[in-house]
Formats: sequence, C-alpha cells, structure tokens
Amino acid sequence: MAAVLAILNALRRAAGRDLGSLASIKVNNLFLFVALLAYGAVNTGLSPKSAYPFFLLLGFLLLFPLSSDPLGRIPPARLALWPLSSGQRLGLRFASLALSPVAWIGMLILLRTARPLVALSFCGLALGVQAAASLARYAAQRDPHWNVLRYIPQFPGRLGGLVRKNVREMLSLLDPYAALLIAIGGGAYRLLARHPDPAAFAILSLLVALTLSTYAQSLFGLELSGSGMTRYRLLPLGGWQVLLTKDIAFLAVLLVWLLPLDPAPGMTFGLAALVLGHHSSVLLELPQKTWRFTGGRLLPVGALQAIIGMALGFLEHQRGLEVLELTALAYVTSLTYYGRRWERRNLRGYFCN
Amino acid sequence: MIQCREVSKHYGEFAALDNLTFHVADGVCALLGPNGAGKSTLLKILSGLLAPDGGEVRVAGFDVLHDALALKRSIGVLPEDLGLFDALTVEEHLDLCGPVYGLSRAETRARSATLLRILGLEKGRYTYLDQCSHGMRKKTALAMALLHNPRVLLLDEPFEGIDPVSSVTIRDLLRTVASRGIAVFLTSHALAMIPQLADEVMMIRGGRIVYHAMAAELERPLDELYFDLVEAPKQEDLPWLRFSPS
Repeated sequence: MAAVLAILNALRRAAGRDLGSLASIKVNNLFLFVALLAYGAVNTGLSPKSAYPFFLLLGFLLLFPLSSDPLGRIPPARLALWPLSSGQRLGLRFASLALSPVAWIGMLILLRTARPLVALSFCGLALGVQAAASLARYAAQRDPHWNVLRYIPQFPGRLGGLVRKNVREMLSLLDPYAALLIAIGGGAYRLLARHPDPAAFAILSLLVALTLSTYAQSLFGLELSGSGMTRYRLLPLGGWQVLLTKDIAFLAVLLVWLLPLDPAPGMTFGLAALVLGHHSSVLLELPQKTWRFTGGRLLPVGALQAIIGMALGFLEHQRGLEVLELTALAYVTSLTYYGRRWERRNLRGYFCN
Repeated sequence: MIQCREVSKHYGEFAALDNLTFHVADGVCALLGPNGAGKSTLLKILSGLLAPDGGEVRVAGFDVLHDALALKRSIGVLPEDLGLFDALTVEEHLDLCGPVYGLSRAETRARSATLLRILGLEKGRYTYLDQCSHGMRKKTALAMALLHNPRVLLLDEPFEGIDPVSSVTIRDLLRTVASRGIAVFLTSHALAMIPQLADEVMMIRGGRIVYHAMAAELERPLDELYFDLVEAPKQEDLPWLRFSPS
C-alpha cells in the first residue's frame, strides 16, 4: 500500500505541474480576445453568446492534453520494473484515473446539470479524442511514414532545412490548429453562403493572424529546453538569418491558412506581430511545451500585437497594399536590429547550458 | 592549430578555467580529466559557444571572439548536448546542414549516404531524434560535424554511449582524417582508446592543465599517469550490498 501511495503522490505532483503548463493559455492572444469579448458582453448586461464558439473551439483543442492517461507520466520501463503485485498495479490503474482533469470536469458537469448522460458524453468524447491521438502517435512511432509532419517538404535555398524544422515545430503547438479551424470555418462560409459578406473575410483573416500571433512572441520557445540553441550557435549563420528562418515558417503557415479568406490584412497583422515579437523572442526566455497553447507576455507585447496588428490590418483593408509594404519595411528593420541583438546575446553565452 | 593564452572562465566564484595557456598543432589531441574539471567549458570556448572572461583563443587561425562566422565555417563540433532538433529525422539533420555550409543538395546527399553507412545509421535514417537511442543521437551529431570538411574537429566525448564496433570505426576514421591534415581535439573518459588514437595528451584538473605531452613520449601507462596526476579511484565500500538468504 505504501508503494502505491508513494507512486500516486509522485503522480499527483506531476499532474499538478502538467496542469500548470496548460495555464499558458491565460497569456495567449486569442484567449485574451475571447475573454475581452465575454467581459464586454457581461458588462453591458448581455449574454456572452459571441464568445461561445471560441470557448468551444479552445475547449475542444484543450481536450487533447487534458485527456492524456495520468499513468502515462511514468516511463513504462520504470513502471514495469517496480516490484508491484497484480493487485497493486490494478489499484494504481484505477486510482490514477482520479488524477485525470477529465474525471474532475465530468464530475463538475454531473453536479451542475444532474444529468449523468451529459457527463458521460463528455468523458466519452475525451476518451475518443485521446484514443485517436494515441493511435496516431503509435502509428507514427511504428512507422515514420505515418507521421504527417514528415511530409512537409524541405524549403528551397540555403536555409530551407531550418525553415522545414521550424514549420514542424510550430505545428506541434495548438495555436495553428485553432487558427486552422477558424480558417476552415471562413472557407466554408465563402463556399456555402449564398451572398457572403466580403468584409467578413478581412475580419476572419485578422482573427486567424491574432490566433497565431502569440507564437511570434516566443519563436525559440520550444527549443529553450533542448539542445537546438547550441546548433543555431554553431551554424555559420548571422543572427538575422536564424530569425528569418523562424519568420518564414510563421508567415508560410499564416499564408496557407489565409488562402480561403482575405490574405493581405492577415499578412499585415502577421508582419506587425513579428516586428513586436522579435523583442521578446530574442531578449526574453519564454519556454513553451508541445501540444499546448503558446504562452506569451500580455503586457506590453501581447496587447501591442493585438492593437497595432488589428489597426494595420484594417488600414490595409481600407487603403490597400501600401500599408502591407510599409509594415514589411518595419519588419526588415526589426529583423536586422534583433538579428544583431541575437548575436550579441549568444556571444555572452546566455543560451549556453 | 589551437592556441590559448591565459584563458580563464568563472561561474560566480567557481573558476572553471584558470589561466590556461597551451598550443596544439595538427594531429589528434586528447583532453582528459574528471567530471567538472573544465573540459566541456574549454571546448565551448574553442567552438565559440562561450566567451572567456579573459585571454586570447585562436582556432584554425581565427580569433573565436572576433571572427565568429569564419571560425564556424572552419570547425566541425560535437557539442556536449549534441545540438539536435527533435522535429527532424537523422537524415534530415544532414540535409539541413549541407546547404548551410555551402554544399549542393547532390553533394550533401552523397556525403550523407556515406556517413550514414559508415556510422551504422542507415536503418535509422528516417527516425525522429526524440525516438533515437543516445548512441544514435551522438552518431548523428558526429556525422554533422564531419559533413562539411572542417579544418578542425572539436569533439566532446565522442566515444561515450557508442557501441564497441562503432567506437573502433570512429577511432580509425579520426586517425585517417588527422593524417590528411585535419586537426582533432577531443575530450574523453575512455582511457583505453587514447593511446591508439592521440598524438598529444593533455590532462586537466580544477580548471588547470596538469599534464601536456606527446603521446609517444608518455613515461608511464596512461591510466597510471591519470590516477597519479588527476584523480585516484575511490576505495570506499557499500556495506549493505551483500546476498542475505532471508
């Protein structure tokens, strides 16, 4: 019994830390936008109906990390080596389920609605989501050809390999999938509505860029805990070239997502997000975790990205491409300046383990 | 090929490197020392990953502080943390590196195929790095160091975690490239491997060089010298480790 309790205690701590990593959503630009939307509605005495689809979208994507098996936090080899009887293992299996956030949310739903079917449906959905994710992971591990990210081709040019890697990294966060779902929604509206409002595509395009913009605050966030930073510093590349590979990946994903909408306002927002995001990407360390929403800094970078990006995006929609060109000029200036800052920072060994 | 003059590096109060001065010519030079002696710190400084607090360092004729880009083009490095990306497969790491060092795609592919074959990585070429064993990861990083024909190779523990056959392959490979004029500077704990590999031996303890000689001129077996000059093995017992029938 003592052995099982010790393991459960360790699992509880691990689950707490894992749950803490989900808190990155609190400082994600999309979440802030949705929270403001809801706050505005509630403040004026209205029901925050316009925020519901976004909450649903965020909740659905969060189901992937939330529904993971709590016992999966113990390396399988370690678990197999521990001298536990079959009864203890069975007890551990059942007790560990109580550490799953899905079980707590299911219980909350049951208490709030008093409808067991709703709670069970939620748990069933979470189980389905996890089964699909596990199956995909298992297939990719058995045969790398099942890993869809593998099919992202190497980009042309000297930096093509780095750009491919950066696209793959970006697609291991949840933000691009939230943006993709919004873009698919916009595309469906264009295809299925009888008389789609052309202004809607500019707004949706800005929303897609806003959803991706937090990533621009933390371009090296996924590599801070690994050894990738060492490789960047060993490659014979200037700081601006390293940053450029990150930016190309960001803009490439954004452009593809924007194709069914109105790309120009979204790209203007994207460039503005990078101009402001270079500062935090180079000078602050904001580590990120895969399969989570990117966590940035609300003030000042996140707020500035949202306000300036939206303003420039709308301006581009009204005035035309010269706004995009001016933003691109600001982007080149930022790339050059922060490229030098990146080199200086690296020479001082800031990123050295 | 490598020149250090009065090089020091401190982490707070701790002196990782204490006024090192040495010169290494062509051939293979092995730097030996216990954990925490300053081997990896020295290698980081030589490869431009870390700035020294004081002193002058030149590698392949380039000042590591002022000619950083030219230095990086001239060296091949196996860093302590390997410097690999989990989002790429073994083969994709080499695909990434070749063009960055100015190799054509075709040349990169040809050299990659040879390196993957020699280092026994052919079967795992499509494996993502986060699914690779430590040995495979190390071999991948080594292949990246060798791909672009560097003037100097700086290798941190190239034999650690590597299977015996690959170790011998790597040892012979390093001897061959050294005979072709590429300087090799490596750190290692594999004392048995060094006499057959190194032309020069250096020993470091507490951030100071305590021994530096040509391998052919060693006055005693290497392990004896090491235990005398650097650190003797501990003789303490673990009394609870015994078979008890109960």
